[in-house]
Order: sequence, then structure tokens, then C-alpha cells
Amino acid sequence: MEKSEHTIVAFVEDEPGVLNRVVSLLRRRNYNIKSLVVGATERPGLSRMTIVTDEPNQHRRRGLASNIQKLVNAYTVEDVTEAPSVIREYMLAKVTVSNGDRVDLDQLTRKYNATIIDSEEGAVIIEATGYDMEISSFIESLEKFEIVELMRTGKMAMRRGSHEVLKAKIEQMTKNDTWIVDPV
Amino acid sequence: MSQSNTNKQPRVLSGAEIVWESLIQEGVDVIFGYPGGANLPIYDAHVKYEDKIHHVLVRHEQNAAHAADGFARASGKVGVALATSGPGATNLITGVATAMMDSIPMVCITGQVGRPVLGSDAFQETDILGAMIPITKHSYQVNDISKLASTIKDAFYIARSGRPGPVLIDLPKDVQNETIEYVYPETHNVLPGYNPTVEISEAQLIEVAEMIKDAKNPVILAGHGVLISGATDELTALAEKADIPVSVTLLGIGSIPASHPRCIGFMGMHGAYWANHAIQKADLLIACGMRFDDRVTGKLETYSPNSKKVHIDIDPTELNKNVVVDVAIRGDLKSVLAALLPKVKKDTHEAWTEQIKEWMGVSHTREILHRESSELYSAFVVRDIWEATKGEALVVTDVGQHQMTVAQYYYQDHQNSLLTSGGLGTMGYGLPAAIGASFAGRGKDIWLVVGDGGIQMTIMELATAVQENANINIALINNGYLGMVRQWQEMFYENRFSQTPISSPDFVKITEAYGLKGYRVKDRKDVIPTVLEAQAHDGPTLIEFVVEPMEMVYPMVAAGDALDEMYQRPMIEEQFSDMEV
Repeated sequence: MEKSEHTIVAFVEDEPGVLNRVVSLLRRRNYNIKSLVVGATERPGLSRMTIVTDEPNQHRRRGLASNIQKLVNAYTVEDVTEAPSVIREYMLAKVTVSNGDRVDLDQLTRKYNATIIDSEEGAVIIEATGYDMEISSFIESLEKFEIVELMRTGKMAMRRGSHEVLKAKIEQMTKNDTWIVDPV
Repeated sequence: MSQSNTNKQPRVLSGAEIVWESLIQEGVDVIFGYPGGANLPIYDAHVKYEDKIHHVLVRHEQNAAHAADGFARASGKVGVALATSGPGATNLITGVATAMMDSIPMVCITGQVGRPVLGSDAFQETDILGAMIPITKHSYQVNDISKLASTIKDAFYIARSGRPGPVLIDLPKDVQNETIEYVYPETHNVLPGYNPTVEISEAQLIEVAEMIKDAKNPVILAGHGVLISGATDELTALAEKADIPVSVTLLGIGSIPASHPRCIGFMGMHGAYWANHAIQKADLLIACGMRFDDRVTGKLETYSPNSKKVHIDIDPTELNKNVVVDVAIRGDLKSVLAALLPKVKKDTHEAWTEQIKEWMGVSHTREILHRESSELYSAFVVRDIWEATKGEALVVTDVGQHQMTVAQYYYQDHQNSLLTSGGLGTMGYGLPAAIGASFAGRGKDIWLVVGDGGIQMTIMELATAVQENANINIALINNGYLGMVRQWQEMFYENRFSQTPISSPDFVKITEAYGLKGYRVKDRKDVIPTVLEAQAHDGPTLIEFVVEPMEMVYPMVAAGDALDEMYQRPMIEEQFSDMEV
């Protein structure tokens, strides 16, 4: 992971416009989004975001988490930059390949645990998951073929081990209004 | 079925009726607004509620927001503004941004085009929710009438709780016309992650008490949060117990009485020389409910370089935002100070007090004593209004030189008695805010101090003041310039007065044309008698004070300079021979 990267996991209400509020906040407070992934969670009505910024200043990093938490639609926000986490990214690449190259490509995809999910005359679509350096390295290797289309999702983060901390926090918050705030 | 249950039998109401019923439930008795196509059903329903909620018809929606803001600041209640869609809604924006910057509780209701045409660029359609996301505390578009009452409940709760702020409710016209069984919810339904009750850390309080014990030159910085939290007593008790001087921000004026012996006055760009020096030389700053705005800190790199810093604020995003502090405490100021007080030891700081007195001695913004000079300066006007009103007025300002003069010379002893646009610095704020404040029932004389530039931004509200017979007095300081900008041009742009000379109508004539009582004062000796006469008049009045055109506000910290590098008033002897310096 690049040193300046800053990764936040935010649990927010699954309602129209919430993504708009989060993105508007990042722009307004002058944070640069490197990636943002949002999707459904184990709880109905709750979306989970993984937000990666390149903010180097530690006070501004903390400020970002507080700012997102301040949104009325936010349940809870966690900075997982330093926490032991599984961080994964998904990638789709369309590569033009001649018949002679196909063996090379098959070897390469196997090496990176990638899969060829579509194979038409002259072009294949490959999917891969991994942490971002793996994906970058795979893309670099693919460059000896011709990459005609490429899409990376950006990172998803999940803390290792028991998930109880976040779960407990949400449940505590749902039960009563008292909520232990991380020391500033 | 018992009687009480029968009373709660739901009635079938339209969305428009639910708006009024819900406002009544929230204790609203006055709102400020302007009708239009997309809020017609709400206005039509108002006919039935006229006796419960008074509607003030402003002359521009921006001023509905400012009036709601002025009402909120003066009353401590949530101000409510109502506008139509499109231009009505976008006109609110400046007023909403003003309220957001100054943490003012407000609910703005906008009509919106009907749901079937939403997103089609229909007549008078604007994505007002999208436009207002950055300048509201929260915003709603109610597309389901079953959620209307609960949304209003939540909006009021959000507006007034925690760090207050404006909330938008955008309401499509067809939802206003739909009907449903109306029940007002008993509790709000806002997510628990919002405004949590925060446990105050004992360890942090002990640390702060230790820092106070060790400090030789401590200063308390008191901001708007003291007033919002109602923490004046706790703050004053802390200042007295540990003998700590208190300096106030612009919006913190009144958080400790100006006449209190521990109050050292107003800080910042045009703050008191001695207050800024005390902050710079302090070894401990205790910042209470303030946000280290750039107008308060001067150059951040040189700000109070040798002090340890404690910051107490309810909004965690303010902590370590502009100034990195040693102890940051998140919490309601009143509770935090109350918990801190017993841990703080009684102490005295005589040498420090003497040092601050010494700085006062060399400063150039002392009490103005003599009144023989006939030349009229705005400082004299404000000082004399203070004397004539015995310091008891509810003072509203616009933005510019006169605003700083009020902060310097209207020695405010009372809480929530100076209404001014601090964060956004909105010219035109003063007149509508004063009208709004006149509905707060404070029983105080209201004095609006405003410049010739600012009043011309919202002068149409003189008509509103007359229509409502609002009991406001206007002190119009006319120097023929956009004075604060002209001052910067003089100081930093080599006297190139680009577009700052401004012509005005005959203010007394226009005042009288609107139907207010008008006066003109050009001589210092007439200030107090005219102020008293205006105050005795039943109904709104305006006094035009024709002041020296080239007056400057001193002292001043230039943008980017350290807080104690202050420009002092030059040539005191010549210009201000009648001021004690």
C-alpha cells in the first residue's frame, strides 16, 4: 500500500442521495478520492463504503472520518488504514490475443489466479481479484498483449478476525443514544 | 376508548395542512416567506391557521431566510422560512449559507414541482436539495406523504440539537395536495449515530485542570458555542475561580458580560490590541465553543506560539481542524465546564492581569470620552447609541466597518443580544434579521446598525417593517463608500478606490416613502437626542448618520499577519483629538 493512502470504511443509510452527500463532502473539504466502492451489506437498509484518499495529513485524515460521521445518514465510520484488514480489488480487462499468444496468456492468468470469463475471436475478457499491488502487477504483465479495455473497481476493505467491534458499535447505537466515541 | 385516545384519532389532512399542523406541534408561531406556484397549496391552507401561525411576507426570499435567522438568534427557537420552487428556493441560498456558517437553527420549506415532472426541467424547477447539500446541516425531499410529519419532526430535531444548523425540506406540489391520516410522531427517528451523548473523559478533565494549575498566563477564548450551550454561568465561574481573562470572538460577544472584570474583550482582525497580545503571549489557551476562524487567529504559523491549547467543542470536525491542540474535548460545553469546575483549583494571576492592563494603556481603542467635536465618526455614533440605550438594546448589524465598530464600542453585557453575520459576512443581512428579531418577544429595543452599502442590498424590507409595524430602529451609517473594501484599497491597493464610492438615494425621503419615520444627523451633539426620539417613536424608524467618509477601522491585523502585528490608528492627535488614546 502506498504510504499516503488512507482507507475509511463507512456504514451509511441505503437511501437515494447518500452517495451524493458523501462525495459532495469530500469535494467540499478538499479531499481527493482515489477510489470509492459502495454496496449492500449483511443488514438491510445499510450500505457499506470503502473510501480511499491520498490525504497525507493525519489531522485531516481524522477530520475526514469525523466529517462523514457527522452526516445525518451515517451509522458509523472506521479508519482502517492502520488496522489489519483484508483489502481487495476486482478488475476486468479485455485483451486482444492472437492464437500463438494464447498459451502465454493462459499461463499468466493462472499465475495471478485470474480467470478468462469470455473468449471471442481475437479478444478475451479476464477477471482478477487481489490486493492492489497484485492487480497492478498483473496489468503490467498483461501489457505485452494489447489491453483494449480495462476497469478496476477500487478497493474494498474488511478488518481481519472477528467483526464484533463494528457490529457491537452499531447494535449499541441502535439500542440507545449513548455511543462511545474514539478519543480525538 | 378513553378520552385521551379519542383525541389522538387521526384526522385526514392534506400535505399542506400537515405542514401547518406539524409546525404548530413544534411550537412555531411565526414564519417568514413568499408565495409562488409550487407552494400555493401550503399558502392556501394557511388561511385556516392564520390565528396560530403569523406569516411575515418578506420582499425577497433571501430575506425570509435572514429574518428566520434573526428570529432564531434572538429567540433561541428554530426559525422557519417558506419559499416556492426554482428562483424562490435559490434565493434562499445566501440566507441558508449564512445560518450554516453561524450554526443557526432553521428549517426552510420549499415548494417543488410535482413528482410526475421532477427531473424534467419543468417550469420553476431547480434541484434545490442538490444545491443546498453543502450549506445545510441536512436536507430532505419528501416524496411520500406518509413520511411528511415524521420528516418535519426530524428536521426540527436536527436543526436545534448538537451544533445547530439549517435544514431544508423540499416538498413537491402534488404531495402538498395528497391526503393521509395525520398523526404527529412523539419521537424523532434520526439515526443514533447522529448527535450521540458523549461520555466526558475524566482523564482529560484532570489533564486540563493540571494545565490550568501550571499556567502563568492563561486565556479563555469564548465563542458562539458558549451562548448556544447556555454555558455563560459555568464559563464565568471558571474565569473567576482560576482568575483567567476571557476574550470573546465576534459571535461570542455577550457570552461573558463586557463589563465583567475578567472579560478582556473582542479578539481577532479588528479585536482589542491587548486581547490579541494576551493570546499571543499566553502559555495556555482554553478555547470554548469557537472554531479558530482565520479572522480570529491571523497567520496560523505564528498563532499563540508558546501556549498549550485546550479545545472544547460539540462538533468533532472542528477539533484539530485549523489549530492543532494538546487536549481536544468533544462535548456539550455546559456539561464539560460543569464537570471541569470542581477539579480546578482557586488561583490568582495578578502579574498577568497587570501585564494585560499595561497593554491596554498603550492601545488606541480605549473608551471615547469627549463629545465636543462636531465631526461625526461611526465609533461616536455606536458609542452614543450604547449610552442612549444604556447598553440594553438588542443590536443587529450588517457587515463591514460599522459591524466591527459595534463589536468594539457597543459594550454588550447580555447574552444573545448582538446579531451579526460572522462566518459568511453577508452584506444585506442586517435589515431582514432585525425584522425577524422583532418577533422574538425579547422586550428589548432593537437597534440595527447598517452601512449605506449593506442597506441597499435589502432595502426593500423597509416595506416589510412597515407592513408588520416592526419595532426596529435603524442607525444607518452613511460614509458614501463601501467602507471596509475601501479601507483595504487604501491599505493594500495604493488608494485605488475601484468601485467603492457608492451613491445612495436620499435616505430620509426613501424612508418616508416607505412609511417609516426618518431622521438625519450630521453633528455629534444630535446623536443621543435623535436616538432617544427615534426609540420613543411607535413603529420603525431610520436615522441616517452622515459620517466622515474616509474613516478606517483600527486596530487591524492584515490578512496573513501575526495576531499581534496590528496596524494602529495613525495621526491620532490630528484626526481624533477628542478621543482619549
